[in-house]
Formats: sequence, C-alpha cells, structure tokens
Amino acid sequence: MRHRSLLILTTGVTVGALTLSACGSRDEGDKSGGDETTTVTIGLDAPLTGDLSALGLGIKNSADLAVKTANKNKEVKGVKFELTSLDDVAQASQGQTNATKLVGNKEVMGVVGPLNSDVGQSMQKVFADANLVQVSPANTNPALTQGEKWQDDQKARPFKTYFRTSTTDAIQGPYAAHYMFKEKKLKKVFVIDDKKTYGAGLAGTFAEEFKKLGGKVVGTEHINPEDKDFSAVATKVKAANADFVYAGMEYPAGAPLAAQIKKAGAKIPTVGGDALFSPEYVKLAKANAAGDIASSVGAPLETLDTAKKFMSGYKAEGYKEGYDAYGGYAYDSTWAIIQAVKAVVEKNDGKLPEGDDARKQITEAMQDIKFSGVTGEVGFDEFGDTTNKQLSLYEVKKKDGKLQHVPVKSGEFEGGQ
Amino acid sequence: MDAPPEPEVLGHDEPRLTDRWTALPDRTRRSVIITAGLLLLAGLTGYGLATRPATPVPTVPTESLMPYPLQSTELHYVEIDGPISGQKVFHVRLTAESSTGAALTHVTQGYDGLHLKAGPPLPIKLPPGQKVKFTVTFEVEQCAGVPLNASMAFLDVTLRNTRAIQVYSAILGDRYATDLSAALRALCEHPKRAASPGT
Repeated sequence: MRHRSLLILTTGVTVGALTLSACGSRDEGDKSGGDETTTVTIGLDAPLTGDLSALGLGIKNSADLAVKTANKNKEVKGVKFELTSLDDVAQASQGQTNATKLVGNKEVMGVVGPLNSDVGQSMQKVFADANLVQVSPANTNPALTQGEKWQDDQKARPFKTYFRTSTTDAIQGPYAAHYMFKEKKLKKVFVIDDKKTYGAGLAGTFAEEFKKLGGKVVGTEHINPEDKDFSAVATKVKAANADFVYAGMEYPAGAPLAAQIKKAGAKIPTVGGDALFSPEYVKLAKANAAGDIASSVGAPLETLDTAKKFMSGYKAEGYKEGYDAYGGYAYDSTWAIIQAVKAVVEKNDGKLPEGDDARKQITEAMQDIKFSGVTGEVGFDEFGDTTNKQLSLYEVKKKDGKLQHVPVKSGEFEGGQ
Repeated sequence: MDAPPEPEVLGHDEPRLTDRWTALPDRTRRSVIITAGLLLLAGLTGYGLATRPATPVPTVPTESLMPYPLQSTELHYVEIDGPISGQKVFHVRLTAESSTGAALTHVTQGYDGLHLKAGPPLPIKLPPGQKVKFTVTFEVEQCAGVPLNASMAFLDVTLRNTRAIQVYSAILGDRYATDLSAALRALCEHPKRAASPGT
C-alpha cells in the first residue's frame, strides 16, 4: 500500500515535469509548423566542365557554402534557400540559354555568375528583361557595368540588374603595367591575347598604360584559346627580344603558351590577369611557371580575417575541388543576394511579394546592400561595380616546398573624395 | 455480540490520497519530497531549454582581432598645390583615416627622378576614427622617366598597427592621376607655364 502511494506521487510529479518539457518542444514545433516557409532558389552559372572547370567549381562550391550557412543560421526568417547550378562550358551561347532557363524558373530570385566576361555579356539583357538580379564574382571587363565607351569618359550603366563583386580590368591591367615598368624595370613587352572580351580587353588596358609610362610594345599576337601548340608564337616572341610577355587570356591557353615561350629559349616571365591566377596554371606549366606573374582581384585571403572563417568552413564541408581564385567572391555574391532577399522580406512584413514584383524589389534592394564579407566590405557603386576595389600581384615562386602563386604586392583603389 | 457487518462500499470510498500520505513513515515522505523536487527542477530546466530563442551562428569570427592595417585605413586625395614658378616642387594634399588606429610610416612612388617628402614628418599617427590631413611634397629631380600621361597613379604607402606592417598601393583615382600628370607636364614639358603662386 505504501509503495503504491509512492508510485502514484512519483508518477504524478514525473508526468507534470515531462508535460512542461513537452510543452516547450510542442510550442516550437507549432511555431515552425505554423509558419509558412518560402523556398527561394538562387541560380548559378559557371563553367562546371571543361578547361575552366577548376574556377567554375570553386565558384559553385562557395555559393553552396553561402546557401548552407544562410539556412543553418536562419538568415532570412521563413525563407529556405536552394541553389540550382547550370554549366555554361565557358561559352556565351550556352550562358544565354542558361539565363533564359533561369528566368523561366519562377523560384529563382537571383543569379550568381558567370566566370567569363563574354558569357556575362550574353546573359545581361535576358536577366534585365525579367528584372532578375545577377551578381558576378569574376567578370572583370569594365564595359559590363560602365558601357562600351567607358574609356572615353562616357561611362553609362547598361543594365540595372547587373552587379559584380570583383574589381575590373580598368585597374588590373594598368596596375600590372606600373609594377613591371617601375619595380621590375622591364621596358619591352610582347602582348598576346585570345581575342575574347576578357583577354583582349585586359591586354588593351595593360598595353595602353605601359606605353604611357614609356614602355615599348615590341610585338603583338592573337591566339586561339582552344589551341595547345603555340610554338610559332613562341618563336616570334624570342625573335622580338622582349623583356616579358603580357598574356590576355585564361590559364588553359596561358600556361602552355608561357611554357612553350621558355622552351623556345626566351627565358622571360609571362604576366597576365586573374584568369592566370590558379593552381591549375602551375600544374600545367610545371617548372616553367616559375617567375610568372598574375594580378588578381582582391587582397590575399590570408590577410582577411573573414576569409579565414570562409576557408575553414569550405574545408569542413569537404568539397573535392578548391575554392580557387573566385571562391571568396562567389560566397560574397551569393550572400549579397541573400541579404537583398532579407531586405525585401523585412520590408514586406515578413513575406516575399508575389510574382515578378519580388524579383524587381530584390534588384532594387541590391543597390543598397552592404555587409562585411569574405573579401572585405561588400557594397556596390552607381554602376553596379564593387566598392571594394582591392587587387594583388602574385609571382610563381617556391613556397613550402612547391611552386605556387605568392603575393608580391597589393593595392586598393581609394577613388576620389 | 457479533461485530456489525462492514458497510457495502458503493461508489468510490477508498482511503483518500491525503490519508495515505499521512499514513506514510517520515523517512519515506522525505524521500518522495526530494525525488519530486528533483524531477520538477529537471522538468523546468527542460522547459527553459526548449523554449529558449535559438542563438544564430555568427557569420563572422567572434574573436576581436585587430584588423590588418590595410583593411582599416583609407587614404583620400584632396588636391595638388603648385607647381610654383621657379621651383621644381608641388604639394599633394591628402587625408588618412584608420578605424582602429595605425601609423603611416613610409610613402614612395617608385619613379626615378621624383623625390617625395611627407609633412608632418613620418611616421604620422592615425588615431582611431580621426581624419588626419597630410601633405606629400613632390620634387622633380629629373624629367626623364617621369610618367607624364599615366591614367593610373598611386602612392606606395607603409602602414603599421599592433598586428602587422603592410605595404600597399593607394590608387587615388582618376582625378589624382589627371592632376598629377598636369603638374608633371607643367614642370617637364612647359616649365615656363608652371603656375605662379596665387593663380
């Protein structure tokens, strides 16, 4: 009888305590269950296969990390983000097809990408017509944001839907020109480009500034980016007696070109832009990459505290491919879209507006987005260009027992007052 | 005499809970009270944990490291004074501001034939959040090799704070590049046209 009474009392108290506990879980469960969760899809376009896939996959993985972080942190209340990735194989026509496909998916509220400037150009109007915001982590051709007449002091923004987190070639090419002329004291250059929007544009800004400084362009050549045999060009470079080569192209052509120039007997450095700044460049050119120089957008990641968090997060996710040259910028591009969605949701009493209005409002919100990102303070100027205009030069040197790009100089565009 | 029969129990007339409780020995009652108290405490703790608002995972590092000097300092071009007729110098007015505090320890530009001197003398202290005006005086020692028409111009600046020393190029924008070229051309291409004081 005594034991029975004890059992009754204990059971009563236990049930009471568990009920209180259960109330807590059920409340939260009810809350989340009661709230509607909207799925917002962020589109991504980059070369995920082919020669430039090392850069493209670094962009994709980094965007994926941003989406996972936003969902984990419940960055936007009531919104779950998803990423849908399309492969443009570094071709403008495929990029345009992908843009149309992304516009057709009504859940897509912003697009990250692409890598190549010519692909970016082919997508801009498609997105503009649909009011769908696009943030490129890697396009560097100035015309994309400032119009074709940007060099004639007639800057005009072509599309309000286009933004980028990377610095433009308007700074990258001239900065390398000053470095080679002033610090390396090399006065004669052979300029080679691949005739593409990015390569020809970058080579143009470099050569123009180099000549203004008093340097001499002793030869120019154009190559086909799909070629791998550049022996004829290498022979011309050797005969021209140049001090160095400026290569306006991407690493799949740039690395074998640099190696073949050295093999032809011209032991001179090859200098190029951010599309040569990849571990793949060193893998392809091997020992012949030593001494070559690449400029790239942004400050070296090891000098950015926020980048360290990104790098450890990337490692923890176990992505097979490295984040490469544009990973940090892809993360920031994705995060900018997430923040624009957040601004619109908060403005509309916790809900995303219906239909096309959501895309329109997100594009408008992007203009005022500001946050501390992986690559520094992220924001956009009146052209849609990043306000974070840092860039760095890297030389291929032996470090930690292997050849790799080592930072040699950094700069920051401070603008006027 | 026989004892009266037990009344039939109709309905629920068993001993009440309080009757049973008072019938328990003191030791048992103490054990039950302690056990119940502990269970109630556990329950309330569980309730508190379950209803606590979720703490968002921070997106930036929580440690308060001093930022690298380049990340916390901005330089801005204001104007160029001069060149003054008869002299081979002009003055570049600038401002510097560091959000966390730093020192500007060195300013160069790298071209042969140009000599730079800062005022106030280096190092220039940049207190946190305070805009500091300073001047870099350019002296043209020889015109050969001086960039007369560069579309980009920058100063190589060394910054120091408690965390690091960094050398970087402060690219001061189109207006600085244009004004610098004009000043250099005035001295090297048309030395007689160099502005007189007050013009």
